[in-house]
Amino acid sequence: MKDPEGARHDQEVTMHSDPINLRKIEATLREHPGVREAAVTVWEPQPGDQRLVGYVVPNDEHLERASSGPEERGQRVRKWRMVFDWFLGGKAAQSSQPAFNVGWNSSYTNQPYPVDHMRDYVETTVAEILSLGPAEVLEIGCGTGLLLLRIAPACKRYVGVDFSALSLKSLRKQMEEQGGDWPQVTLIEQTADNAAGLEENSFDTVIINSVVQYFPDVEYLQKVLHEAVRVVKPGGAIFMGDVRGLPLLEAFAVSVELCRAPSAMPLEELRQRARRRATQQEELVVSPAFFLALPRQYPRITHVEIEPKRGRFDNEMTQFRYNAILRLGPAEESVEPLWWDGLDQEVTLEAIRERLEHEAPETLGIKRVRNARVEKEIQAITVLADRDGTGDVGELRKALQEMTMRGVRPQELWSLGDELNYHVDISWAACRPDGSFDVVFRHWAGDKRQGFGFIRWPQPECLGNEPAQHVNNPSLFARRRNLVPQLRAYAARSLPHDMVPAAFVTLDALPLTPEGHLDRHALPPPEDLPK
Amino acid sequence: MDAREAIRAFVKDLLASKGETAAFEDSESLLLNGRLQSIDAVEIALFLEQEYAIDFSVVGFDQAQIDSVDAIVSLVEQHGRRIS
Repeated sequence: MKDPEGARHDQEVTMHSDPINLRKIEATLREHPGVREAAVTVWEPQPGDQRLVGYVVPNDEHLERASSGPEERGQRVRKWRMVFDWFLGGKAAQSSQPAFNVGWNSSYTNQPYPVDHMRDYVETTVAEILSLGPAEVLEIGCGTGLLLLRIAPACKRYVGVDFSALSLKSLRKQMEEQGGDWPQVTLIEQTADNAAGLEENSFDTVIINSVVQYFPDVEYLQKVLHEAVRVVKPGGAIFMGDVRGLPLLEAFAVSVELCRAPSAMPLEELRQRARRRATQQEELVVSPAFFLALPRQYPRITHVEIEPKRGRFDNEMTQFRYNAILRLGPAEESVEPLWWDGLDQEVTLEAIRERLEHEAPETLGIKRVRNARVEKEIQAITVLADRDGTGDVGELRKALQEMTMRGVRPQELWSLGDELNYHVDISWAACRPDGSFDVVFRHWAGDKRQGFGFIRWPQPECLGNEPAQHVNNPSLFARRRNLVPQLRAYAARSLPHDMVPAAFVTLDALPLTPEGHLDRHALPPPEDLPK
Repeated sequence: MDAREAIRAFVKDLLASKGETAAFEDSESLLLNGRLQSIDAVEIALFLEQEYAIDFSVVGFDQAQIDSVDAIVSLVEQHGRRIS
């Protein structure tokens, strides 16, 4: 039997005059523990050129159970170290302002971020950390000193840890070039999970900024946090900065793929590309819920704040990442304002301004404020779902252009607070997938050095879940990716030479007929068979 | 399989594992144009270390060296030797 596209679907076929039993090959592939389902067919890209192709559905339960273990974890950390060394040894390091763009490439363009974006990023991050009043700092993943060079001068003691010897070399060079003494600074080359030489209760601030995404899995993240909690003094804080947010991962993936797609691309292809980008992340992406649940495990953590990032520009850091600030006692009573529902009442920046100016409330809390930074991306997801894959990217772009966007940028609210003499706290603790946030304005009464109590923010109901449910699983993707080379070697060992598939295709599920049988006709053609 | 074929097959698998199945030329930029990410560069480097004994601590790290099949072949011709 042969279909018009060149595939043969018999259970026993003849290739090069030899009978080949496809079921036997399928059974052998299914014996591999990483395979849940398998199908084999013969493709004939050219008349007389017959090739066996194996289709497999990975056994994710097995791949998940095959715990990454220290060896695989170490390998992933080593890979990321190579990435950083690569950037530092390459052309990027020769830039006139290396501290601003070494390794900071946009996912949209793969080019370094513009210097003004990076300057804004660094200035806002430094200001946030300095507002914690750091004196004795441990920075895990200090890199080339983006933060250290700006924060250490205000500190009594600053220990910078990084896994890249090249990063630390570059940092030492910059310290020398900036002149002056840096007696308070100690640099240590070691991985984030290695706390050797770092004493208990010896720092008031631990900074882990834009590093978590390179951790191999949730166990590694937990280990790093365990040590961070151990070394922080009572009253101190752990600043987890620039964490990639899981609730907006789909919006991020759609945003990047939409930016890169040609206008003629069918929406179904855009949707598949976005789905792949979201599920095949090499980086660790974490829900704020992971950090919000930490006080249950570590009673020393008494309060957790989840803030969208400050910044004037819309880019992947300000749109999709957040800072988690973990406070370590003493416990303080937190307060909950009366909430005005921003989404129900279509709250705009003008409406908030009017209320603050005319009513001059002591406290104003607004929940579910529509987030202008990601409003377009959220709308794109809705349109993609509504269109059911029909249409093209050009039509989607046009539809988005014609929509009225009514959201508010968090930065506009911080600026409004400065203008009208309000202290402004903004939270993403609710983990809503639409990116909306909650905000509380509190009027300054006199001295701006006065403190305000913590807010009891809306939180999701999933905090009791296992920690692994609050993060993605980059190791699983890596193991899925390694399955094909493993299968190739396994098939070569386990099958006669003429029964080894020439190509493998991984699928989420095998196509079935309405009766529930394997639909061999619906198996996708392999893109490129080896010659 | 000669070096170019082996390198092309490896890059093709790498692209396919990320859902990138469109055809590509040997001269085509893969990293700098965004088809592959920075951690994929490391996968290529590890492959070259294992298969051709290229020591990147000696050769130096530069994404341009492995940005296309042509560039990788040139790197292997200059610094590599077949191991297996």
